[in-house]
Parts: sequence; C-alpha cells; structure tokens
Amino acid sequence: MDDHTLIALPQEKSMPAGRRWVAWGLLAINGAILLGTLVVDWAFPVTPPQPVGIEKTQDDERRAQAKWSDGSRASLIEHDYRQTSRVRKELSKPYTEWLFRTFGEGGSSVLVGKDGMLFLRDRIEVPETHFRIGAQRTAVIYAAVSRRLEALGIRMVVAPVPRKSVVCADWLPPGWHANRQYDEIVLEEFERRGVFTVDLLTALEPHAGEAFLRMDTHWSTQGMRESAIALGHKTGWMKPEEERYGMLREVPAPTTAPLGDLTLAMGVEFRESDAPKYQRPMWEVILPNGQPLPQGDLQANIVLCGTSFSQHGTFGSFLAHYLGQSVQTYSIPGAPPYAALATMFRERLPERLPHIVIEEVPNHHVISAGYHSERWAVNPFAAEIFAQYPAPHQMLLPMPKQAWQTSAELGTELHAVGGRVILDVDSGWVAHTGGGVVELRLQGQVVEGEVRIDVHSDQGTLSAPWPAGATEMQLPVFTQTPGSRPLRVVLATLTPEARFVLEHAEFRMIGREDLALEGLLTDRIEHEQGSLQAIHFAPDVTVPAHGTLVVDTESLRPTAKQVRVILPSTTDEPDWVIPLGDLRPGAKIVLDLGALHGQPLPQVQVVWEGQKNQPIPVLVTDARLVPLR
Amino acid sequence: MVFASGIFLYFFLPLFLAVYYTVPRRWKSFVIALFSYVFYGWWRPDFVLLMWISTVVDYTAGQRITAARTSGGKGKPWLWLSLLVNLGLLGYFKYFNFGVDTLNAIFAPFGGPTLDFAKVVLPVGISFYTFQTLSYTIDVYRGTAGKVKSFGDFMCYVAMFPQLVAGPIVRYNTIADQLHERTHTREKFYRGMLAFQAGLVKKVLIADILGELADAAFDGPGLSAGYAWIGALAYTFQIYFDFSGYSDMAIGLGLMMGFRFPVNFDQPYRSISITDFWRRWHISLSSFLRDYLYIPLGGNRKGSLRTYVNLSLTMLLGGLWHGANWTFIAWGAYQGFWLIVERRSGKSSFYAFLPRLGQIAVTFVLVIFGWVLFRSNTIGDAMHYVQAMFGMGWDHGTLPIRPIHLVAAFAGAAVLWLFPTTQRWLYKAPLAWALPLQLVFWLALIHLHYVSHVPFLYFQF
Repeated sequence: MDDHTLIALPQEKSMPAGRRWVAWGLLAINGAILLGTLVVDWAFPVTPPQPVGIEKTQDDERRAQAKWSDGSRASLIEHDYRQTSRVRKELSKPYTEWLFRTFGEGGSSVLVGKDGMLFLRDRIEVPETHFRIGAQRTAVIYAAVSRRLEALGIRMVVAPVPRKSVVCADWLPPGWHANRQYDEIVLEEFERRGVFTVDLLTALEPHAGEAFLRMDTHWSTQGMRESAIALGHKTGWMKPEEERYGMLREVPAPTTAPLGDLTLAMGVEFRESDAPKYQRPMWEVILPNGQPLPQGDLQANIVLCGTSFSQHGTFGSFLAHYLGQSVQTYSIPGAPPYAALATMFRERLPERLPHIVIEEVPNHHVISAGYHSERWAVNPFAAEIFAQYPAPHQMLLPMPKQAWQTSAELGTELHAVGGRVILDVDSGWVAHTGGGVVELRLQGQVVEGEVRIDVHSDQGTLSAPWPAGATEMQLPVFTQTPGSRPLRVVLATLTPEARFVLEHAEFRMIGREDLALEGLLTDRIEHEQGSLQAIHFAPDVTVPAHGTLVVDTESLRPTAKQVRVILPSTTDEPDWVIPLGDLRPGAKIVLDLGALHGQPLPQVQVVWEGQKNQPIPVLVTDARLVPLR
Repeated sequence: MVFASGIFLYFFLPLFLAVYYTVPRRWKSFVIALFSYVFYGWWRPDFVLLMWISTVVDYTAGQRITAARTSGGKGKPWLWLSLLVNLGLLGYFKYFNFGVDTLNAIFAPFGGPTLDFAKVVLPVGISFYTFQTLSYTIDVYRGTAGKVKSFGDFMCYVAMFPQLVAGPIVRYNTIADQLHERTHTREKFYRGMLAFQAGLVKKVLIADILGELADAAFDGPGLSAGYAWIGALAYTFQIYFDFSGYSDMAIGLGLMMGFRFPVNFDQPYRSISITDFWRRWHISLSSFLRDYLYIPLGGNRKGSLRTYVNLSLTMLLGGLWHGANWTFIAWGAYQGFWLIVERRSGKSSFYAFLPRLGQIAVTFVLVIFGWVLFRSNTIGDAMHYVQAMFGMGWDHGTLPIRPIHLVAAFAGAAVLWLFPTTQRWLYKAPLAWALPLQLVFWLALIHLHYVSHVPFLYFQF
C-alpha cells in the first residue's frame, strides 16, 4: 500500500496554441451535443406509446402510486424522458440497424441465434419455478370451457402452439436452453384435465428449420400445414386426398405477412434477403379455378379461434383443406386465450352453433399464466362465456346446509362498498377435480349500482360482472382439493357502492341426469390403508367425453379421513389415484373423467382410512357416471 | 442519480455547470453541496438526512477538538462521538441484515428462536461518505489537518457528487486547501471533460457489455472449464472498467469544478505481485485502510506475528467494507493471505524468479480467483465456480458469447495492457488520444440511448 497522489496536471497554459483551439472546439462540440439534446428533446418530444387495457391500468396505478420518497417518482421521470426523447428515437434506429447488421445484436428483447434466426427473449427466459402453475391454471379453465361447449353439442380441440425456441432449439445461440419440458407440461396438464389436445410440438420438430419464420415470432406456412395435418390425424377427421377442400400449391415467394415482427421489435428494417431460401417455397390453398379459398362464413361447421398464429385465415385454409370443409376463423392477434372464442360466441350463438371449435393457443401465453397471474386471473372472456351461455343440461348437487357459511342473509338487501364476502364453503364438503365439473349457481338481483361476482378457488379467481337485469348466474368452481383454501364468493362493487339481494345459492354440474349410468356398490371391505368400497359398471361402459363420476356419501357418519378414489388402469399405465382429503358427512365427490375418454371403466374404488373408535361401515351410498350428451 | 443516465447528462450536468460558473467564488462550494443533495436524494431523499447527520456531527467534532486543543485538551470524547455516529450508521444500515441473518443461521439448527425483522435498506454510497467524514475528524484530532474554514466548505466536502457514491475516497487533508481555494481554468475543464469521457466509454462500452457475460456466468447454471474461465475473465474486466470508469468520471467532474482528486487506479492488472496489486487497485481505499486501521493497529512495528495479524485484520475489514456477505470477508481473507505470504518472502511474490511478464500473468490469475470469491453470491457458489474452472463442475453449460462481447474484450485488453492509464493520457492530452476519444464517447452516448439503465457496480458498496 503506497502513498496516494492527486491527479497530476501540467502547468497552466502549457498547451500549444494550435492544440488549444482544437480543445476549445471539442469543448464547444460536446457542449452543443448535450445542450442540443436537451433542446431537441424539449422542443420536439416523441408521443410515447399509449398503453391500453391491463397495461394502461397498471401504468395508471404506477403513476398514481409514484412517490419521491422511495425513488419511484424519479424512476418514472427517467422512464418518461426515455419514452419522449426525440434524439433517442432518431439515433436508436440507425444504431440498432448498425449493431444488428455488424455484430448480430438483437437488443434487449430479441436474441439472435444461429443462421440469423431470431427469438423473443422473454419467451425463452421463463421463471423456472412457475411454468407448471401456468399450465395447470390454463388447463382447468380450458376443461371448464370444453365441458360447457361439449354440453352445447360442440366438440372442442385445443392446439397449443409450441414456442419457437423449443421447435428451433438447434438454432439457439450457445448458452441458451430451450426448456422443452415446459411445453411438454402444457400438453400433459391439458390431457390430464380431459381437454382434447393436439400435440403440435412433435409434429413441428421434424420440420424445425422450416416451421417458423426466421425473423418473426410466428410459424411459416409450412408450420401451419404440418399443424393442420397433425390435427387431422389426431382427431381422425383427416379427409382422403379426393375429398379435400381446395388445392394445395407452392408459392414462389414468402408473401405471407407478417414476416419480420422480430426485426420490428428490434427497430430494424426487414429486408427481403432476411428470409432465407429454406423458407421458400411457401404454401397456399386455392380453389381448382385458381381463386383463393373463400374464408368460412357463419354456416361453417368448424371454427378456428386463435391469436396472431391464425391471422389472415391461412392456418384456417390449411385446416379447411385437410378436414375437407369450410373453416371460419376468429383471430385476435395479441389477445389472451378465450378472447376469440368469446367473440365467436357473441356472433354465432345461439342460432348458428358450429360443431367443432379448434382453439389455437400459443404456449407462451399458457406458461406465462403462471407468473403473470394478475393478467390471467381476470379471465374476462372465459367469464363472459360462463356467465352468459349456460349449458342446457344441469344437475343439482344438493349439499348439507352446514356446508354453506353464508355471510349474507339470504333474501335481504346487502349494502356493499368495494366488496364483501357473501359465501364460504369449507373443504371437505364437495370434493372435485376442478375444471368446471362443479358450478356455482347464484340467484339474486342487483337493486342499485353494478356488481361483479368473484369466485375464489385455488386455481385462481373467476370474475364475472352480474349482467344487467339478470336474476341468476352460474360460474364454474375451479379446484377444491385436499388442503385447498375454502371456496369463497365475493360480491365486488363496480360502482362506488351497490345494493344486492342474494336469494339462493347451490352447486350444480353440467350433465344429462336422464342418461346417467348407475354403478353397483359393494359393501365395505378391509383394505391395507383402511376401508374400501368398489363401484362396478357394466363391462361395455366406456367413459364419454367429459363424463362425470358423481358419488354421494353417507350423511350419518363421522368425517372420513384421507379419502382417495382409485381408477384401476386397464392398460400398462399405473392406476389413477385421486386424493380427496377428509370428507364430511354427506359430502359429494364429483370427478371429471374426461382424461379417460373412450376407455372402459369396469371399476372405481373409494378408499378411506379407518377410525378405531368411530368406524364408518358405509361411505358410498350412490354412484353414477353422467354423460354430457 | 447515475452519471450514465440521460437525466444526469442532459439536465443535471449542464444546469449544474451553468449555475456553478455563474455564481461568485464564495458561493461555489455551496452550489456544489446543493446540487449534490439533489443528486443524492434523487432516488431516496430521506437518505440525505443521514448524510446531514454525519456532516453536522463531524463538523461539530472538528470544531470542538480544535477548541479543546487550544485549551490544552485533546477533545477525545468528540473523536469517540464521531466514531460512534459514523460507524453506528454504517453498522446499522450496512450490516444489520447480515448480522441478524447470521444469528438466525446459527440458532436455527438448534431450534432456537428466529428473529423476524424488517429489512434495512442500504443507503447508496454510505461506506464512502462515512469514511470521508471520519477521516476529517481523525485528521483534525491527529493534528494532520486544521479545522474546516466554513460549514459550507464542509457540506461541499462530504456531499460532493462526483465521488459521493462510488469514490475515490477523498481524505480531508488531501483536499482541505482546494475546498477553500482552487483555480478554474479552461485547460483544467478540458482535461476534466476528457477524463469524464474516458470513464463513460469504459463503463458503457466495455464494462456493461462484458457484464452480461459475467452475469450469465455467475447467476446461471454450471459451466464447463473454458466457459467458467471466460466468465471469470469477463467479471475481472467488468469490475475494473466499471469502477475505474466511475473514478475517471469523478476525477473529470472534479477537474471541471477545479478540484484535483486522488488517483484511484494505476494499471492494477499489470501488477507483479498481490502487494503490488494493492498499490494500484482502489488506491484511495487501500491508503485509507493503511493510515486509519493498519498503522493504528501497530502496522509492522510489533514483530512479524503481530504484522500478519494486523494485515489479516485490515484485509478482512477491507473485504467486509465492500459488503455484508461472507464472500467479501472470504475475499479479504484471500487477499490478506497472499499479502502475508509475500511479506514472509520479503515483500516479493513466491514467483518473483519468473520474468516480469510471467509474474504479471501469475498475479493476474490470482486476482481472477479473488474476483470469483468477490462476485459469487455465496461461498458455496464460489467453490462450485472454482471447481468448474478446473473442469470439476457438475454441469457443462456454455455462455451466450456474441461478437460484441469479443469486440469489448479485445478493446478492454488493449486498454489494460497496451495503453497508458487515463491519468497519464490526461497529463499531456495529446490529440492522438483526444480525437478518437470523442468518437467513442459519442458512440457511448448513442449506446446509452439504446440500452436501458445500468447502475454502477460500486454503488452497492
């Protein structure tokens, strides 16, 4: 450690006169740059992008909560300055272009992979701890929607679009991992919930280099074509060559827009040469006379609901070709799942029901539901479907009175400011697998103001505005599994205050009671983990789409501990065990067996732990398999 | 506020310079103090209060000590008060969380109670300004500096924004005269501009770009040996260019205000031993620790063993000064270990027999291992990282190296090993340096527009 010294400077006026002039010149130039930036930014500010929807709400909140004391106000000022800086805007574009063309730099949001393949960073950098939650949350909602559509006579097929970084994993730069398992889990969770799902991941992987556009987040027409083929095969609706709709032909140039949304995201101009040769030829479907394939109309039996991946009807035309009939496309680019579906419902129900709904949903939406919960919890489109289009066949699920903890006195006028809890149902009264298998029906009326009903359960909150003038609403309950929080129903006011009368609440499920198949019950037998009762169905019984198992339990008994339902496997797969926790006297078990669609169901076992001092001689009193249609 | 931000460059700095050069001489220190409070309070105004406490306590202590001395006393209680307040603030704000977490970790395995507490937020730069104010009181107490002439000068000394949050640590006795009387010339201002530009270029075009690789290396999954070395090297470059870049900017801004600050770096990666490294790295801290800790502990005057103990203690505390984490303590211990080894062999390294280039190479590698400890989040992570550097890691991941990283690395290597330091360039300020510097400075300004906000590494210390 030696002596510190001050910065050394020569004697003043030591600079030769010529150099001194250069020095003054440099001072003047740099001063002009700093002051010039200030003046230009002040005189010619850029209009910042205006946030909309949820982003606007978040931005408004951020501005309202900004404080000097914690730095948030300063941070906001710096953010706003960046947003409105004219100099920044004008300089960033050519600089970005130069960085990209010279060094292959993609900026903060875009990753440049091998052979110039671009990827959106935030679709690769997924928080490791949350990806399964997103898949689970989406799966239960899709199961509920699917069940509702099935009851309306519509078959729903969900086609999760894998992330580009997974399909094109070989093009990722060193050090980046595709995390294929995230996309696999989406398929796994959807199928486990009985959602009819098409695996586009394995369909697209053999065509990795051609399935996605190089400078775009979207798939190429080749990717759409392979996806349509995979969907046709999985559903069994693929038509033979001679029955197909229109003709498939190669297109010499990549004309399908958008081609370069990732270059746009970087602020780089897209050039024709940015589309590599291997993405040509592109494909299109035409009529035999050479005319473009007409877009499906309101009479089309198949509708495609989706996002920007279904934009321009191109994916729809491939589906039409391979499925041999007209497909009408509802596509809302950038919108969350169900948005296009809700639009379709608004337009076509109840008069012009399609027979098949193909729901295209990008996996990055599904995965991000795990960590963008605030965006997802609202589910306005799903809620709209649930609240406004009740299924035709419903069964009452009568519960013992003590199941309901009614914070609101039924039949009296409730005054709410902001919100108030109106109903609680503890766990142990209704054991179900979620996914809309159990629904909550509320009857009442709004006396003053506007209200919204929030149904809280473990997989998120479903919020639906109470339709004006309506006297009842029916919403699905997502999950109430062992250890879950009680089901809670909250009356939230949309106006500063509101008055509401809750007249009645009950559990229901969608199903044809008249078509229910009764199961034969055995007596209680000893089991290694307590007691067991088996439910037998006829040997030829197979599980219908979204078939539901409804089990009534004895009401004059103590609480049964650690109840499990076991569905013995008829294949090499392990038995399906559904833990239900403790069941109170008279509780209901309602299970969606959609995941076993088409499989035989010879036997179902209900197992519970014995209690030495209070044995339960009979737990199951009645069991039936309920189809939707 | 950070130097590498639009608000500072296009609003604060022009406004400050305009006001500073407009007001009469007697107001200049006050203007510096005022703008420094705005600079410091931009993100957390409440923390300006802490700085005021430090300022008032040490100003009063300095006055009282001087008064006590004229009446035959020493004013020791005032020195203790200053130590208590400054180290108390530093201890609470910087080490409270660490202390409680450590206690919880000790008692938790035995089923002991866990202390729940609200996390204390660390005020930026507290380590720097508390050391500065302490140096004033200690220097006045020792008689190596006279009391400050006015409270305005002292406010200016404590709060001076160029070096307030990340150094160099300017000791009172080195700047006392300048606080009262300094010259403002166009040549000084020009050289200040060049130093500032050089610092911004180092920070924006080298440190931040290589920082991406360092972050990926230390915060990501395990790496193969080659990539682990690249990651460690990236951090070695990042920390030098970030910190020396900040020092250059501080020195440059100081010159624009007429001040000459201490040199903080002198080509540290050309050191031939760890002892030599500490003569060249963060010189203002190492000399502070030497004069206010190592020598008062007895230095090397009380035998070999005591010297080693003093060295160890100084380096451990030096490590802890950087942050409340065991990794910093381990880094201090690591540096202390090599200093002791070198002292035992007569202040030269055990590889002194190598040619100079070989000595530089070995020292550089030892420094890299030190930075692995310094950068890792935990001691365990550091050990895993070192294992990976020897090819014994669990994973064999890679790093997202892009062409721009290579460009930044080559430019950094050239600056480190081929060119003189900023302060040496600054002396002559040749056009061969000044003109190309303008181009890269403008490039850095454009790059700043392009990237989002990246704070300086040394803010956390």
